Amino acid sequence: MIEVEAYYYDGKSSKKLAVTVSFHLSGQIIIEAQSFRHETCIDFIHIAPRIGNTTRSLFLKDGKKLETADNAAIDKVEHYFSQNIFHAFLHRLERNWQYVLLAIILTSTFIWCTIEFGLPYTAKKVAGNIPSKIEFQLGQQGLKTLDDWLLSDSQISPEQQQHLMNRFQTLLIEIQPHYSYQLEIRNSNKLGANALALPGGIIIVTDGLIQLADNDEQILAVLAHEMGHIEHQHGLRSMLQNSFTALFMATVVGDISSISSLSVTLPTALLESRYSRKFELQADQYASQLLEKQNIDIDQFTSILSRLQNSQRDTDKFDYLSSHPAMNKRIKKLENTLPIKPE
Amino acid sequence: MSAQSFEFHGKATEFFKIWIVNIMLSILTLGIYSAWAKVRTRKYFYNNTLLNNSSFDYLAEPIKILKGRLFVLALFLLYSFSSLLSPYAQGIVMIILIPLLPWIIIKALRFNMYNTAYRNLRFHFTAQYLQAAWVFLALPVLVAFSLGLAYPFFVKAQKKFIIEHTSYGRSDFLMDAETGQFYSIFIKLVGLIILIMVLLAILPRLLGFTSELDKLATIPPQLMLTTIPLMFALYLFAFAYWTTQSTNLVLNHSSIQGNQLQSNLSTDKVFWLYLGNTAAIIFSFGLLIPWAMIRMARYRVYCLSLIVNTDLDSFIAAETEQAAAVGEEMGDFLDLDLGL
Repeated sequence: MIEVEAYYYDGKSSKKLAVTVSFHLSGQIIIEAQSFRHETCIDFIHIAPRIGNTTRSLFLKDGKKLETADNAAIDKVEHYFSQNIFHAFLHRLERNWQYVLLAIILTSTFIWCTIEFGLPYTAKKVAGNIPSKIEFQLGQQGLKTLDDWLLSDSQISPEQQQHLMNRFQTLLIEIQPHYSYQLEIRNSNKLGANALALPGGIIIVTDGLIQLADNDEQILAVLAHEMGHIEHQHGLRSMLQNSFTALFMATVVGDISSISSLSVTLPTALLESRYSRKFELQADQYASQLLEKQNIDIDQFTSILSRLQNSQRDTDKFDYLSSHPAMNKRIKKLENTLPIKPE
Repeated sequence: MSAQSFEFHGKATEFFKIWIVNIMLSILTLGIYSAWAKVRTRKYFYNNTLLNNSSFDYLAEPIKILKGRLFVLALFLLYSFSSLLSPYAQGIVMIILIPLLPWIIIKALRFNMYNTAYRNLRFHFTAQYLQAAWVFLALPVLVAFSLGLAYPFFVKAQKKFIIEHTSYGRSDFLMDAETGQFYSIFIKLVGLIILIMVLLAILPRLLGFTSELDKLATIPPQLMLTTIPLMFALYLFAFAYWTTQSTNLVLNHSSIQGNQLQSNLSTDKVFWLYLGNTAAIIFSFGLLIPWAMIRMARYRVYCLSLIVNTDLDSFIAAETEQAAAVGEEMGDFLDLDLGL
């Protein structure tokens, strides 16, 4: 027989009664106080699973309830009558430091693998399965939004624009592009010297960039870089990847009250910029291969990159959580891809 | 009359173990266990909160929480992927979802209250759709049109809506805080924010970066390193001020059957808790999240008490409870944390 001190509540009012509960091996349970006696049996009682060392509840089938602090005694009852086997197992996991240590290792490994490989891979697969018609529509929509908010008509003469369009076509000749490319030249004070790629084959170049470039080759180098973004579907992938990341972070650390939400948004923001730097390097690589085919010297690319860096320095004040990798790192990587020149 | 203080018995190491096992099992079961994890977490906090030696209890069934999560996930996916179909589809989904919002809020509050119990009596939440629509759809529009001036009025209406539709057993809660009291906190908050903005604007001068700053192309890194954490801390202070003062106001004006709640959170202490917790979480890569949660809960509960008018034995169960006839109903599984 096991005896436990408990509080008894009848479920009809909030009245509290201090009682002694005795569990008999036969399954009989007697709840007793000075002028109170209630009998029941183990089949008519539901023992709440143990969580840490919190107050334990025992629910009687007819709406009554017992509460006790004596977890050790209730564990014995539970064990003897083989109740809550699954939850007793959970409590064993939660009590032993070996399992907890295992949990820390498993969890951090899993989180790292998901961030490093899982989410990017899923985003890539999903992006690859999106019909090209939808991708095209997304791009058109994006262009329209940009036209409304950031871009204005180009100040470049129509002749020069036509000339650039023609040069751009020559880039496409030797490869089999997956997209029908559309080059848009726009003016933008906010963006300065810049180029953007939108899903479905739209490339936007600003007047600022055209003026910044010494020659056509430098512009083509930037266009080749943007083509890399489009061919690798970086726009769609980063869109998907970022929403997956936020969702994943919220699930992992979920159930957090207001202030800790910074602990969700901060790592998400850091990861987003990390993913974005990877995309930039991939687009650089694509560009360097394409330029090599076109016999355009890679030096043209590196010199426009350093020019862009200098021009950005004037406009970009918060280059703090940069979405682009450090420029000298990019340039160095590109120089390493240079074919070794025969003596 | 006697003041009964609430007690909190949760411990950081004990909860850490529960927390990490919850995450591991949620991962291993591809998220399915997260519903069980949630119930265990809630139970840990509720069961460790005591008033007059009786603990609170959380009674939700994990299966229902799982259903609720799938429902919310479905809505989320519907919304995100509708934009891929056509730009109009997302608009249509929005138009359908907005009128659903008051309904979702009522169901979520109902679920959370119904599954909270003390001394074997449940809490209840009952409100009409139109009342919720007024508070959560009409008033935000008013706030927007008043350029935010109606915000304290909205907060008051929202708190009143929640508290006055909540009951414990058969007894209703009452809240008698005045709109003017919310305005008084709000005006001080606005003053505080203006002060912070002025301070941040003149900070470079104070640190000896004189007018040549305008000519510099980039902000010097040493200035950024001092400004950004300072800005974060100052705004965190403003946030702590607003949450503690409005929580105190609401609770100090809430009562049930003549028993008055009392909360005396201090802005300074809450601010240091927030700051310490944020730093601890960042530098421990999240491993100190459970420690932060326990610390916060302990302080909140420590500041809370109930001035008992007669005694705590005289509350009576609601009729639905006695009949044990609470039917399953569509939406009785929404366990959203609305942060209200």
